[in-house]
Amino acid sequence: MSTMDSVSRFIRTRITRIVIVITLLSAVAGYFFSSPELNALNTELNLWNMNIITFTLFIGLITIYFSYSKSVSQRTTNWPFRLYALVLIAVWIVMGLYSGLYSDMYQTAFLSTKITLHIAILGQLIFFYLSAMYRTFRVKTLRTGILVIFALAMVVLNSPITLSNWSAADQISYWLLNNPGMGGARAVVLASGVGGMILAIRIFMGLEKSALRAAGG
Amino acid sequence: MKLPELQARQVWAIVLIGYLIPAFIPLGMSPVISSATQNIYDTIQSLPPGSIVMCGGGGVFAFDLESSAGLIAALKQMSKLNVKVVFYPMWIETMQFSKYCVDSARVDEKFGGPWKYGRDYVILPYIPGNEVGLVSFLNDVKKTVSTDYAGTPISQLPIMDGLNSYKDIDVWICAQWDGVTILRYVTGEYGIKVLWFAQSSAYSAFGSYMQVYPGKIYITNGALGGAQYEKLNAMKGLGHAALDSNVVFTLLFIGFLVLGNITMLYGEKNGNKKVKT
Amino acid sequence: MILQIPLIEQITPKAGQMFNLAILILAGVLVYVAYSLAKQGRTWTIRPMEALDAIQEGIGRAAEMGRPVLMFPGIGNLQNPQTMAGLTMLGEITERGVKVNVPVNTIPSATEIVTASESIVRDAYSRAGKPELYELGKYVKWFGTDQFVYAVGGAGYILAEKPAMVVFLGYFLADVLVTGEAGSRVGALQIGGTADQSAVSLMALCCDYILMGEEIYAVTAAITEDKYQIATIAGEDWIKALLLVLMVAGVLLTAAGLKSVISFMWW
Repeated sequence: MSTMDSVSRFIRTRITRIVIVITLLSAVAGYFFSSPELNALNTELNLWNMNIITFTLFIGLITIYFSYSKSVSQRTTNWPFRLYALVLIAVWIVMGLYSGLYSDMYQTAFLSTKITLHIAILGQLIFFYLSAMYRTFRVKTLRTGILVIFALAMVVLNSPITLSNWSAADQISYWLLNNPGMGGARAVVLASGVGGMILAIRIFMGLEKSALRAAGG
Repeated sequence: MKLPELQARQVWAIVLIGYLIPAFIPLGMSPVISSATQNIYDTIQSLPPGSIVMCGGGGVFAFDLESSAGLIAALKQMSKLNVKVVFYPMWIETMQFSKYCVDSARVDEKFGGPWKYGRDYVILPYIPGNEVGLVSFLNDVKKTVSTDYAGTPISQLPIMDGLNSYKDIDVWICAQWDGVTILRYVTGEYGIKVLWFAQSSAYSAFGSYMQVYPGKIYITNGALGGAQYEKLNAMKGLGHAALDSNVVFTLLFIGFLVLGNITMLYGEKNGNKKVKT
Repeated sequence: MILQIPLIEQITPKAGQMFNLAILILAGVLVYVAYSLAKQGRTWTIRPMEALDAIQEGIGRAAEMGRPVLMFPGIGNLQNPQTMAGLTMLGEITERGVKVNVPVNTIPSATEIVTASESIVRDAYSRAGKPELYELGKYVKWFGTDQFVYAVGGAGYILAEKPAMVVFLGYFLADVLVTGEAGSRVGALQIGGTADQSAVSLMALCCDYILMGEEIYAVTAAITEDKYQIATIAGEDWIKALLLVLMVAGVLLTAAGLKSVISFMWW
């Protein structure tokens, strides 16, 4: 392994873990304990975190530019669309810098293009919902029968036509959501929370090699 | 007679017809006010003059459009009370969404409304970091944000004089998808009341928070809740428009459910052949 | 920027948080105990997870059909633990796919995930012993950061490339319906996993195998077949057992009028 590879590996493994340990302990201390110094440290770390998050946006953009430029130069499949994407990214960046991100021109352009298309896509979700529901909501076993009955109940009880003719429908649907439904949902959320905590501990211990990019080779 | 299995495009064709029905045949559904919606209305109505209302969360514009119905009605309500509204965009598009809602509510003086920007309401810029930015903001507002969305220093905005930390916030209104982050931190950690104009999927997932923090959190149910809030404010908007579509798609849901199960029982036997769409 | 930190003079614990801190420390201790036991030779087996077996079956299916595998790590960013689980799974699936000459493509959403994905895929090729086959931009596709731009791009890619298996693992919302329906149309084996409650129900509509909640974290440990990572799952189970006992005790004692468990939890 060359010296550069060794240095790179040292930075990716040891230094990363040291930084993780320090920031984790600071964040945990700031969350559970209170003191002016800890609060100031936490606020400072939060601000650094926000700066790093903003910085990662640019890293991703640079990666995309390298990848797409290579694809365009080699005329791979769909290269015109990648060229279009590169040009469009550059145009929006220049427009944002020139007119201001919150200018009326930029906002109007954003609303007229991206958001309009997004609304259109959201509008078509119902097609996917209903075709998937038609295909999968079949009563083949007791479990699927219970699923179908409760799904039907929730849809019907929340419908305006039901609510306007039967005032108790609102309370029944709320009870179903927040008693049997909540029990299952809380189980998933609690277990996910514990799982996430253990994942963080695994990263802290250096066991999550993919996450830390500390794999050999 | 054997029933054929419908292909996806055939289902979509029927759904398209369902899409068009409310446009040509208005059903004129009227919403029934739920207790949560009434509580939100009463909470806002009882705010003392000079109260600071934070309005924000994380969401995408198109998805939050469903809850814009409730927020626009609430902004109209608040414009009649002497309260200050600070918009807090936690995701990038929330800033545009906030601007859209304020413009749609016609509360700014440029539309003949009573509000003046900087004195009665302000839109902060996008604050990155999600929960990290939120906690930083709640602990020290002036250290987290230094300008509004247009680059004006907040020292030049009178509305920000009285906002230094979470202690100065009276109520938090959220009309975004990621309201659960607001619930967990703003109410869970700092005890501030949160009024959430939630999308229906958010309501179904997080409606139980009203039981976890009774009296501190009220959540409306998607476009239905928006229609209810519009009715409380004697107006009609996107919420009311969505009611008719809701009825049509409920009927379609029931229809396809029944048809699918009948097809399963009496349909053509395809053997191992997978239905291609 | 120089960080000036004077000596910490007075630290007071925040009210109602000490129990949470105790659980966090206990979780770390139990995980470390499990890890130590694993180092001494103790092994654990994870209960059969159909989705885990299906992943291997799917890679074999892809090799037979001569079609690629597609992996979606979700729409979350690097701060999201679900995205971390998805990236770990990406590395494992890619390594297994490379060994049997199955290309594994991924479509991330956030731009920082693009960079992380490229790095993980490159490492996976190295671990599989075929670093020369890796090409920048060939296996990581990016269609946009926005949720539905990403979903529509992914759906189009599925319809064009017809992957044999599609794996969803990470933070998803309604976008999974778009890509899942596309996968159903091309007859792909679909495996989905997320900890988000609303997306699980949508995944159930279009996926053949589902991983719910903390199963996504368990499966990323199990698929590595690393005894130390599997040991951490054992530690996780001990914590869950303890919390279960506390919950049952809390319910029974509260019903009997004793609020001691509740008071303890709000310490």
